Amino acid sequence: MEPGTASNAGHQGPRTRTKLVTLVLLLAVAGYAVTRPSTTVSFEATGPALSTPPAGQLTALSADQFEGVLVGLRGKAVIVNVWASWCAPCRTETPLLERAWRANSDHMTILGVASKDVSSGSRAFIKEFGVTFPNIFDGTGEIRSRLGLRGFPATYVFDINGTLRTTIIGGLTEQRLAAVLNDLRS
Amino acid sequence: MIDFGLLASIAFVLAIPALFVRPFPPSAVPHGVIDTALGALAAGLIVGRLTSLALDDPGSLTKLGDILIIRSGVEFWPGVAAGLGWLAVGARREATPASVRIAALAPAALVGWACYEATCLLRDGCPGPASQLGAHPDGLTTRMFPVGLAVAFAAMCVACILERAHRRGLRSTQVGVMAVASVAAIRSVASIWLPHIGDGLTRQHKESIAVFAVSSMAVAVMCRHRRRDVTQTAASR
Repeated sequence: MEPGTASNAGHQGPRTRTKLVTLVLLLAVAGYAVTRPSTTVSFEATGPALSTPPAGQLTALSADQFEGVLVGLRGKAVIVNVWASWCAPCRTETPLLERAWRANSDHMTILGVASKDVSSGSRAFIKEFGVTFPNIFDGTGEIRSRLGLRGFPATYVFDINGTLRTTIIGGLTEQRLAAVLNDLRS
Repeated sequence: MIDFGLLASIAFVLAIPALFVRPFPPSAVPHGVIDTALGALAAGLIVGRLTSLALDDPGSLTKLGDILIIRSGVEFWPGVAAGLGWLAVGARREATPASVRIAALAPAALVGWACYEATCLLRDGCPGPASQLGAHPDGLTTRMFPVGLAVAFAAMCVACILERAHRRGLRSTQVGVMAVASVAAIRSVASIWLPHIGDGLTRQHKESIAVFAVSSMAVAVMCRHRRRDVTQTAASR
């Protein structure tokens, strides 16, 4: 072996690895930037106002009835959470939503929407997590279609005027949910 | 659904330390930062995820699909313990003292953690307490102080200080324990400002305080021993 060959080979490895790592990093960031879904969804509930379904239960409603419930809730902030019993992040965020509901039910409402699910599975899910906020069963998929749902779970935050303020696609963290609640309070 | 924010964060966590942090001494990490840290990161994520599920949703422990969704929660300190364990076992196999390898990688690990915290901008917009000194997290109207960025800054500072101290002769064991104590201190303080639901401390906050208490006691004991060693050496002369 030529003198110095070993040291050259030793430098080649880390350099190539550095380039590879940088490339992966750039691809990841670029991929993220290109594919990141926009969180702005255009949705405004219309129609006659309806009363909120009973808390802690699963009530099957049509998309029009769902919009009526949202109209009826104007004056209070509303967090609509679209979930399914098979969705893993939903299992993580449901206890958070339940805690948020118990701590803030005086000035806001949480409305669960079970979608793309079987009603027995949704009921078992509600029972398993001891959910006490109202839940709607979207048997036809119309509600998720009107909300422009792109993935499970999804959370839609409406202010007291019924304006959709933000949409969170994917699982909620406690930090994010608490920030949303603080924002609604302010 | 792929969380591109998390994916980008992990890319930063691995790439930045690998590109910019040199382990000291280099012989303690013969395979490079990435090769050595990948196993520890994987071990940390698996153990952290399983612990999170065991504590919050034991029913999901039998479902591989649920386990794989790390976005749904990874318990930080069990993950750190698993990562350290992985490094220690790997070091022993290569006849390197575990403390030497852990100390050599501590600054890189701190920089990696700083990158994760700083890239909260790509994940959830770094929410924090309402403050004029801050930004609007995605979709929110309140200006919030980006706690994640402050944590990243603190972690970078600790990484620089420990790296310098190590080069100037601080023992490997002390570097490792001080790194853990510093992370616990930063997390304990940051958790005060992180928005949370309801009253009282979060589980993560309590864990960080407990780790800080134990690790800072260990630091104090080590410093005392060192001082005693120095005094005895001086007396014997």
